Amino acid sequence: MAFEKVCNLEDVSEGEALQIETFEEAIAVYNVGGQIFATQDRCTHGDWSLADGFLEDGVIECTLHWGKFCVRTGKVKAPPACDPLTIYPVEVRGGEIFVDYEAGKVGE
Amino acid sequence: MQTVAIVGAGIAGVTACRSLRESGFSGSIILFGDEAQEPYDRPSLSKSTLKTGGPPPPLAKPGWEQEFDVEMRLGERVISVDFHARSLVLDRQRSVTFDKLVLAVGARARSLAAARSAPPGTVHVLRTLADSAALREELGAGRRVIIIGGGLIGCELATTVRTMGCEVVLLESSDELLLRVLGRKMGAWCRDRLTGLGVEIHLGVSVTSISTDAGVRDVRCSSGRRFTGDVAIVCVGAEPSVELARDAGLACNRGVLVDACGRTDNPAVFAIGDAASWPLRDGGQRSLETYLNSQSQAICAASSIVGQAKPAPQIPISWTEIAGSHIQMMGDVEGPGAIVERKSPEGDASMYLRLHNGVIQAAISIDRAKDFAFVTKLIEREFEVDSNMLADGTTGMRDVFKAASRADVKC
Repeated sequence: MAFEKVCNLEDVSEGEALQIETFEEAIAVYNVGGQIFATQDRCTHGDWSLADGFLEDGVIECTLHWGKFCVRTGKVKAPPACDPLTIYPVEVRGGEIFVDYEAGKVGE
Repeated sequence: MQTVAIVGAGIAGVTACRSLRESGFSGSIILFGDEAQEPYDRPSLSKSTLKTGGPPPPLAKPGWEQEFDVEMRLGERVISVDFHARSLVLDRQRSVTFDKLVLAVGARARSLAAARSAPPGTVHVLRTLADSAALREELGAGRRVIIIGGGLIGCELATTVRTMGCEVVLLESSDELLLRVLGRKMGAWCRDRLTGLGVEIHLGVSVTSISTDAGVRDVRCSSGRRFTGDVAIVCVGAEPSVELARDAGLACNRGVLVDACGRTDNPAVFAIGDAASWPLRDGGQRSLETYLNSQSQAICAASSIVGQAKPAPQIPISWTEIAGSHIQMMGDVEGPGAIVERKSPEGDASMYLRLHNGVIQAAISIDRAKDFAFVTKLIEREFEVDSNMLADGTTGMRDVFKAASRADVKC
């Protein structure tokens, strides 16, 4: 278990997502009403960044083919996405966001 | 216990199963599909599946029928509906009773009168995985392929088949490609791009016969012109499959007529997807034949079935891949208001938006998926936007959306 700082809390405002490229695979960090979540950034359907997508009610919508995922659980909410996202543990301490990349697991 | 029978295992039928469970439906769900394959993604048939010959992406992950507790009856065709007995008659002379029925039977490729006398197997259409596989068998570098019809499928196929090394001749009867779905400007844009890819395009060409002589396809036109090739594909649109509904007495008009909750004129029967003629938000109703509208209709019908009906008048929305570009569209481009052309920061056309009374009614985006995501929300929510901001390709649509949603709150 190794949490690493990925960005400051102020870098991801409410309702936004941010792409983080510090790990082997890019991750997306989301701010859902003040709660922070992290998933793999690449859509499981096509090679496309989810951080550029549309985040609403805790669901990220990919802009390429409109597949949707729950950012908290990684669960598929709309096809053509078929496989869930990998989700990562997040901690927020002193205005900074930390992610445990090694502890990522495939969602529901 | 209630039984919902769903006929058709495409995106509409599969989404309906999923939505019923997500809406808390606890009765039994039976899903009929007349193809034997697990439910698959149809948009790939003209693209990656045709090109690589690999399997199309599945519509749901393996084991989904257990997770959603769906009885799948693949490879079984429903031949008629008996509303009085509330039963589906199967081709093996068995029947299945239901409490609610969802017709998600899709559409079939429209046939061309000129091709009806062609020997079986000599003229292709593209609608199913079997069609895609049969077509692929005939393709290969240097093969000359004649595509009849310059709509979405025709142009997608021209792209894919050309990149597979075939020579491609694309014949369109009207005076521009893609007129119905993308309008004249985008039609011309796509024609330029396809021409650049090496596709030979002929407009205003009306095909009168397709015959085969010693393995060569001979396509003749009313003007007297002839085109010969190794392969002929007819892509002249689709026809909603209404036979099951019509034979059972449901009202149909190029699609099974439904209200904005998906109900047909029989209260126990719903229709969704390509087979349904669904009310539009901006008036009128028609069969939309798109992936996303099919999903939206399935979700809506599922809510209606569980007693939480919420009308979902539709706005057409879809995407295509032509000549290497990812094109997305929402709403009808033709209509009142003015067209705003948005340039990319590099100065290329990146989006066409129809603006009426300060609200975006329709949009087409070229390789600008991220911006388009926000445009779709602006169209759905009817937020007023600043047309100068729209035209300025250096202002991201995310910012336009934020500004518009703030303004909307103030009202």
